[in-house]
Amino acid sequence: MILARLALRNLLRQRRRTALTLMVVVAGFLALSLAGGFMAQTFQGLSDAAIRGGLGHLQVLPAGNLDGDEAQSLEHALPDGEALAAKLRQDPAVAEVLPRIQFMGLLSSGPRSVAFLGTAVDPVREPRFMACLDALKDGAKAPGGAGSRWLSADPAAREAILGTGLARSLGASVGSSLTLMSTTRDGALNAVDVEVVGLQDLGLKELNDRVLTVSLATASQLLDAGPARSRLSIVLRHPGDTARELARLQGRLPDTSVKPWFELASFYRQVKLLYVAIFGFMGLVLFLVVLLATANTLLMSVMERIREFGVLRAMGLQPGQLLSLLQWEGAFLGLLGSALGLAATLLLRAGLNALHLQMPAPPGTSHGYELDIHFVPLVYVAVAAGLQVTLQISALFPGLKAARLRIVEALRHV
Amino acid sequence: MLELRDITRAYELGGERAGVFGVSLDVPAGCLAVLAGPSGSGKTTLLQLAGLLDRADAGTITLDGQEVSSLHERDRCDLRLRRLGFVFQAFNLVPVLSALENVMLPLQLQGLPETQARQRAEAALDRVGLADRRHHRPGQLSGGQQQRVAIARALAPDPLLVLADEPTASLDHAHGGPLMDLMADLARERGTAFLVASHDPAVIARAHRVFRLVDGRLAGAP
Repeated sequence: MILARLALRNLLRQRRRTALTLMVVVAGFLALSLAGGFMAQTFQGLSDAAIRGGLGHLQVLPAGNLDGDEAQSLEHALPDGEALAAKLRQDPAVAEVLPRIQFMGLLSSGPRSVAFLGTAVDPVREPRFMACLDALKDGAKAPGGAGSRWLSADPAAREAILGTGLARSLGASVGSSLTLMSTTRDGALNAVDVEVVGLQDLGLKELNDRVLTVSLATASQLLDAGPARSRLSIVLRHPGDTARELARLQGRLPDTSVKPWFELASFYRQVKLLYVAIFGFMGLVLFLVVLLATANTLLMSVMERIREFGVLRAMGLQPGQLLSLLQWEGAFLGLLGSALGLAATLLLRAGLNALHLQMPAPPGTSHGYELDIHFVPLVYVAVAAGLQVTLQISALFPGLKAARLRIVEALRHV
Repeated sequence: MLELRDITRAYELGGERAGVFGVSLDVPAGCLAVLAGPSGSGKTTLLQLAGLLDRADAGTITLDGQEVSSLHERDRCDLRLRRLGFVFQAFNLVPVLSALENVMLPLQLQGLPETQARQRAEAALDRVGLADRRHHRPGQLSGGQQQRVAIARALAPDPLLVLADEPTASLDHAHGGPLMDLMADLARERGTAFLVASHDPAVIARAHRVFRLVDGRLAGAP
């Protein structure tokens, strides 16, 4: 304890230098924890977008991994998807099951035809859990989108909601009549006339240029789908249980493939990987800055106290205890720096969030978002731990230098 | 108490051979012994060897009957902590600690509980006449007072031997004499041996034994 007290007094002795070192630690903490909060916002936004964009928490797919065109064909679909959905809705962990048909074909406005990627959904259940109405709201702001509404619950209604880019390429707007053309399960060509009831903006230009949404009834007629469904999106009552429910439901449905949303959301995974790499690099640079700054401070402190260390050694202090003394100084700098850094982070976070700053649209997306730096205790703990380790490492070299001093030379030091 | 036998420690200084050569001396318990001699005669070198701060090239050092010159560094540290005390010319108190905390420091390093260390430190400060200055930092004390704190710090662990290197060199005559009287009294009262390196006549005048060093060799006998 005496060494800890001595270390604290030594830091207080050089207040200005200690304050400068603390500022470096605080700046490091602030930068990393704010970046961590921003990343958390981004990840949360992306995961919400992926889950509410149609993936749900879990997806039930036909057995075997199907990619590309095969995934858009009912040939490999869940043969009695509707019955399976009804069965899963009885599961207490499941909040809702949303059957979907993925299909593709040509959309024709008469003189012009454009290839599309279609999704057929339940017009009643879908808006309760998915963000389709948000996309519709955004789409209503696009040219030709005025008066956009969601699909009718009437099974006889033949309606479609187009991506804004798809509508633009066909010169279509709300109220336009178009023809959907595709192949049935048996391979026969089929067509259905639909009315455009809305435009949707999904945030990604590539999607807006290709996608359209229709009701399951419309798609069933076009594809002669019967009860077959491409996949089922499962919304769980407790999203935190995704991993556990994945294993359980896969056990219940051995003839299917149950996948979690994050395995299917490739954009989410790519962005997360990129951010983690950027954050890691930034963290490395900041830790190096903190390491060098604090090592320099502690080394200067050792050089100024060589005679004092000589006296302590003469009095019987072991070399290892001198090393401990410097470790205590590093520990106090780290603890105090992290505490001040946390306070500064919380203040700055509150200030920045209160400004309601609008961030520019991320690459590949069509609209910006409001900055909301998240409160992430785990990030604060990790940053504090990382800084603490850095401080202890930075105290190691000065400590070793002090411990290796020859007493008689240290006592002669002026 | 302290026995040095044929101690030699040589080093180069300005291209010339310096140090101490074949020195033997005894300092019994309760004795105030002085290493006298001009600057560069080897007083400090011999004091550092006797205080286990440096290692001799040859010879043996015996402390209270135990041969200590060949001890491992860890044991030498422990011995310095428990059996030896040091007083330096420049006082060398820890500036961030009060007088009381400075005196408590070696006791706490020994592992004594704080209350016990405090009692012993207060008694030591009281003995050197600084009870009313115990909460002052070294910077708030005069040179004479600082040196008294240093003596209290050296004596608080109740050592066998106190080694003092030019303890009066940074003090004026009015403070140097009483300080040496204090050391002589403490040697007599407590049976602690003192080995003091000094060329101050006031110090030599109060010594029970004087060892004169000339060019690293002992010129006189007790």
